[in-house]
Amino acid sequence: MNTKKKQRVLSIIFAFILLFSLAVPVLAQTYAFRLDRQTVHAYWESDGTLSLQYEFVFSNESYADPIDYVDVGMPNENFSSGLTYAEVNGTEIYHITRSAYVEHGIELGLGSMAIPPGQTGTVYFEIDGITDVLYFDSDDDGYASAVFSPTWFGSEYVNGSTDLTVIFHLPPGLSPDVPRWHKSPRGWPEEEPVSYFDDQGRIVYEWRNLNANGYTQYLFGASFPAESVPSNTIIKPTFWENIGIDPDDVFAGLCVTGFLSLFIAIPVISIRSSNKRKLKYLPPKLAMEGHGIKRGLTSIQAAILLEQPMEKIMTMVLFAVVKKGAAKVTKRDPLELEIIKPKPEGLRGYELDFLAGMKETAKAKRSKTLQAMMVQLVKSVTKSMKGFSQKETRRYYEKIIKKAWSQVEASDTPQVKSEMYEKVMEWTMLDDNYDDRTRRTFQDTPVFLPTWWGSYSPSPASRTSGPKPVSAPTSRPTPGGTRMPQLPGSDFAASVVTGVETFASSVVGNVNDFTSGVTKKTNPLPKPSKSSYSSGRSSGGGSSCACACACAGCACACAGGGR
Amino acid sequence: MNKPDNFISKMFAPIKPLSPGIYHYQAPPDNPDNYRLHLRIEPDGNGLLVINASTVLHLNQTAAEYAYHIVNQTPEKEVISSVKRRYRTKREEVINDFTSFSKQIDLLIHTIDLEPVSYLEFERQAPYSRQTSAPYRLDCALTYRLPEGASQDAAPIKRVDRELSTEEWKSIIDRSWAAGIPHLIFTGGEPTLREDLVELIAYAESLGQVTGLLTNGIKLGDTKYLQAVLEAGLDHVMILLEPDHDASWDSLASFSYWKETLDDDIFVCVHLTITSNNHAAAFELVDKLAQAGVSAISLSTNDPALTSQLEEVREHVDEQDIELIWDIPVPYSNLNPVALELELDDDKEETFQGAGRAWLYVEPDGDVLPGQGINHLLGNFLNDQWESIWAKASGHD
Repeated sequence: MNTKKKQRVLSIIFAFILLFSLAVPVLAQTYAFRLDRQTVHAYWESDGTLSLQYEFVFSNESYADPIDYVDVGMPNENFSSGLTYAEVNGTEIYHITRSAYVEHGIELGLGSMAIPPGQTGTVYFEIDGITDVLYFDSDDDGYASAVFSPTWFGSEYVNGSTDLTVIFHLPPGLSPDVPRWHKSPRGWPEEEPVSYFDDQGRIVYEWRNLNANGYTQYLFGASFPAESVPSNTIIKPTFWENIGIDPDDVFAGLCVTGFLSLFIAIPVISIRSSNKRKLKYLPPKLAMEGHGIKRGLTSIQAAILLEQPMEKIMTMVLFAVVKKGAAKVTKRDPLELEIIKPKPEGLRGYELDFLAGMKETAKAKRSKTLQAMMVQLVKSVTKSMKGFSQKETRRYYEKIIKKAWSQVEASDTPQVKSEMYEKVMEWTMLDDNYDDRTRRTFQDTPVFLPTWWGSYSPSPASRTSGPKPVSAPTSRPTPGGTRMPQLPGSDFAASVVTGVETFASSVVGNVNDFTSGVTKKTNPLPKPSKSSYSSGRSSGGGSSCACACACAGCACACAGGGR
Repeated sequence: MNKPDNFISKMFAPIKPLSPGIYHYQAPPDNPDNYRLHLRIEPDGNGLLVINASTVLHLNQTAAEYAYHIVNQTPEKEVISSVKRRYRTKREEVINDFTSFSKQIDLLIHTIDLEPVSYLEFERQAPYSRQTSAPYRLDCALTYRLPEGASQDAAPIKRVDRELSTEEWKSIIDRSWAAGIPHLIFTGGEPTLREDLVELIAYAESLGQVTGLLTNGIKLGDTKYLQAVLEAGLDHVMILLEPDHDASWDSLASFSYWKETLDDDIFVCVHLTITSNNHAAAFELVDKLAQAGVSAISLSTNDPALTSQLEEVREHVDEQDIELIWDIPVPYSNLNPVALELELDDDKEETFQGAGRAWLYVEPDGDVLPGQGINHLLGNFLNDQWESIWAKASGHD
């Protein structure tokens, strides 16, 4: 074949070659291999695009990590990872994405086909449709210049020599005497490539060096008539590209050599442009998938979630078992219960555990059993909350408490008020201001005592006085003729509050000790961070305490502080 | 010559978000927390971080960038320099945000039952409400064959005329990984009837996927087989309990033994279907499972009339040391306690079906359905382009 030899000066292609990238296996591993053979077919297509077919034969060193990823540099960013195909030892692989390590490159994840230490493997990769790869020839505007540098690897990874072959397939339809080849890279055995036709009748230039290496960047080029491809696919070199100077070097050089004043605008533009090309920074934001409100909790379960003090929660459990007819208070201080047999139906697990605890006569054992009951209760609430939002659920139950109070307060007559109060009493108890609010609500009216109250508050004779005086119940006739016991509202509130305090002193003992015995099981402190990124700065998290569950622990940690 | 400003703009091409793809990190064997992270960078630069194949976090572009560095274990200095180079921000802001982000993820990994919305100030998103580029999980029905003696009505054998070969399943696994699906569950029929089950588990694990197995558990009673399954790297197993079969209980006992010897690195869950035959004894069954050392249970019912009984059983489970699991690929899984509870809410938020969004189901011949028993064909995983299957699943086709 008779083709014209063409010498090129490096400056013409300087800017273009900067756009090629280094190929590296992914970092942070011990990579060491020989690149026995690398063959690249570069198809310069008639539509002005470039298709590449790579074949690498790697021999992995016996002491290295497996070759699990290969990053192949691309000429520029104008390629699509969708127009690709790859295989390892003849088996197709599917992990082909833009490389995270090479600025313009493709990442091949070898997956199960990774090349183990001491073994040889062939990686094949092809890509079509790379655009913006042709420049006008600086010596002849009628020619397009196609310059290509096959991907290369970091010298720290590659050992030995490489049989490197680069084969250009020029656009179809060219006569043999029209295209021009560029001189072989320095040090290659032949100055010019071998020329021939491929099976599609396209002119081929083939460069081969049996003793090349895998870490040097080699440049190959050819020129062919510009009309062989659409004119808009050929890029005209800029002034800077023509004179072969990297503008980054210009800016640096200008600063060094004192021409700053002359070109003061250029560095300014450079900085502005540099910022402009960056991505907009927004604070990192995380959203977690989960359901919203967990409905259907009992008031006692809600009390756990709302971080109520433990003695209050246990008093609520006491009320629940008394209300269900499972127990009767025989003595208020110290608290003593009579467990009713047979047990009524429908007792919850924590109520059964509570009754079992209260059966214990030894104070220490009783306290320990009740601690275990609380641990179990907190855990079960935690579990039932899994997948739901604690925040939204808390808000929901706070609304229920508000609603409970407004229903009581909106009642017209003392009796309706009392009936409503009985219905929602366990919810009103969750109000932190339960005591004051009960006094206010029933300031001028009595509370008709719930039917179960007698089982909780034994006859005045057996009742011992608490810290606050409790009036004896009086009675008034109901419409049906029976007499319902009643207490002044303030006395009723005091009785409940006294009950909580009595429970604390007579059953629980030291509230803080009891609480910490529970929280150390339900809310163990999170393990110290093992993150290598922790630098002692404040966390962005909003946790005000170290709770890691349904957070009775938060309540309890605070309970000693005066809840 | 071009104007300098145009020239410079050209030279400094805009920086792009991270390349779409899936990235994986597995804590080294000596790490007591034994956790796995899967990060999927979506085409728009946002991310999806899945912790231990269960906690799903949606990340904005910046958070995705930080998560990428955590997954790749990039040294902190390099993270700061990289983000500073790629974003318009100040160094101090990057340091603060990255430190805070790392701690949040760290807490989430290392603290059991931490509720991130309350304690880490994450936003909450309704499950499966966000369109993603791929589901979180692929349920692979390897076969519809059932063991001898089992009622053949229990598997839709007529739907398929052949089973895929081992290589074909490997190809599906490859494609699913390339699509960014981090989690596979092998199901059936009875998947342990496939001779290549162990090989397929090992293959998916070698790529970086989390694997699970849904089985009647009987073959796992064979210690040698069980050991092979565990050594292949299986991450979790769900045993479909057949309460009347002693073999089902035997397999649980066997699992408990191996679970201990393998440093607790497998998660075992038992599925109990509440039926009209067993609901009266359901509490006892739960107690028996708790005594057998089962740490997680999944509940569903095959009869909508049993929903209140199901709720009672769920409460009983809450009171035991057993974790409740839902959203698993079992028959009638839409009748699980959580789904039913959400159904009952009058003012419930919009709910989204996980089938077709969070998971897909592949039949033994490669046909893809949104979920088990949802016979809406989306394509064939082996023969059709993934993009077309997912477009159909997402209702965009």
